Amino acid sequence: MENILQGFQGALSLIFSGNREVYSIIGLSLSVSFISVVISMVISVPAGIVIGMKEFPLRKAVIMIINTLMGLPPVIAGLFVYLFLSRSGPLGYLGILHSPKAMIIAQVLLIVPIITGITMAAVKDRGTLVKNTAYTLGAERMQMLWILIKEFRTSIGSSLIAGYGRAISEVGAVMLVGGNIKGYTRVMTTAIVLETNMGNFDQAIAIGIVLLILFFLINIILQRVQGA
Amino acid sequence: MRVQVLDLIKEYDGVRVVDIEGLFFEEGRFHVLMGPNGSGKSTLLEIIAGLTKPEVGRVLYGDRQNDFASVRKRITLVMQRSYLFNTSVYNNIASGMNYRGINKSILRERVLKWAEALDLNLLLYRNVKTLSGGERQRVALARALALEPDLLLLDESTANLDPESIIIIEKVLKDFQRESGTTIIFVTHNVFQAKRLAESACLLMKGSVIEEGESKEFFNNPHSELTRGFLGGEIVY
Ligand SMILES: Nc1ncnc2c1ncn2[C@@H]1O[C@H](COP(=O)(O)OP(=O)(O)OP(=O)(O)O)[C@@H](O)[C@H]1O
Ligand SMILES: [Mg+2]
Repeated sequence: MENILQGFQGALSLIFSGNREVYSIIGLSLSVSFISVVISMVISVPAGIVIGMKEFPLRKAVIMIINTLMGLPPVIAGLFVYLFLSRSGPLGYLGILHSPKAMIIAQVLLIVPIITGITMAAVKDRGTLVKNTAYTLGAERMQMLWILIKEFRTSIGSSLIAGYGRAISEVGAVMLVGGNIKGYTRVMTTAIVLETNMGNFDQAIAIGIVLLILFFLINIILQRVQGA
Repeated sequence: MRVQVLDLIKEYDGVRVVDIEGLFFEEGRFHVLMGPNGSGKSTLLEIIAGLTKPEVGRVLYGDRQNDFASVRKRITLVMQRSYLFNTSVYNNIASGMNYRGINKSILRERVLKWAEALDLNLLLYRNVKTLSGGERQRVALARALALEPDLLLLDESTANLDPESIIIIEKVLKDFQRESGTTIIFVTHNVFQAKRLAESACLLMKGSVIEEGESKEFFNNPHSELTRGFLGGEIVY
């Protein structure tokens, strides 16, 4: 009990004194996950719209794979990226294992199915109606895509936030491919694991508090977006 | 814009829902298309509007017998189950004009003009989610009319309206058609409405044309037993 109370005190002072290490860890977490979401969005939103609305061979199989990947255990994504990026792997020549880039790749792998899956489910029922309406009003292909994004902005927005939440809270994959290198690839989750193992509860709790607050914020935004 | 439907066959799951040898819609006229539920009226309009492709046959547009692609922007369809974009009434009416890149001041003028005509001016800045069924239907109509198309396809566009609104809209459509010379194809299974509106009429059953012709002839002196039955309300479905 003593431990925990002391930990909280230390944590608060770390947060409010603007401890540089803590802040850089938080900053890296936020930015890596943000970039991952942006990259995933560019891939997944159009993909979700196409898969949700178009008939094509093996569509059922593709949907099943996406739904399965939505719950992909992060360590598996990590392992996969690790094998590809390790020195002997097919992309080893890039030399980006244990860098933020590797972490972003792993996170993209985790988030793409989520954004794709949610977008796909959203457009499945009403997407064709929206598309046909836009078509009769004279919209071109690109305008149509934009109209669909606008009409399904709530679901798409939710999927982006859900993706961000998954990325920033994930530990297994970024640990594996990032390597938890201090000042370089150490993010909130991996820092918590490390500091806890080393008995530095102040730091672990401080970062834990920030992560928790962030999650509250994410959920508040999510509810706002969904108009709940 | 004149429309020629030639040797058209459309099937869904192996069932023929439209089967028309030839059907012509003359330019600048008010055509009414009638038929019982499931007779293929909506499907025919969707084919003419380029939303679905027939298995066989084709549709030619205008005097120069163009294909659909070259006249797409001069045609619009108000679907039976029309969809409004999740935004204000104003933005909905403006949407088609926006896609066509119509200049902002003309756009605004036309939105106001058609909102006025369809009695929507007090609702312009409301989100369409809060509108009643009849109001939504009028927004869909205003959105189509604002494009001032050469071919206007209307699929039961007054189905959910009260009698007073129906009369207003019929007048709006008639006036518009007279002033602009637009060709209108109007689907309804209300025989009384058809009589009020039609310059020429066509009866569709099981995907095929039973009878078509000048309004007078069609309603007063139908050739087919089936048409007489339909007009007299004797055919029960
Ligand atoms: N997308 C589709 N898939 C399968 N069958 C369809 C589809 N669209 C229409 N049909 C079938 O085609 C037939 C004609 O339908 P259509 O909607 O054209 O009839 P309609 O004359 O407009 O009827 P209503 O008066 O009820 O609107 C119906 O039997 C309908 O079930
Ligand atoms: Mg219909």
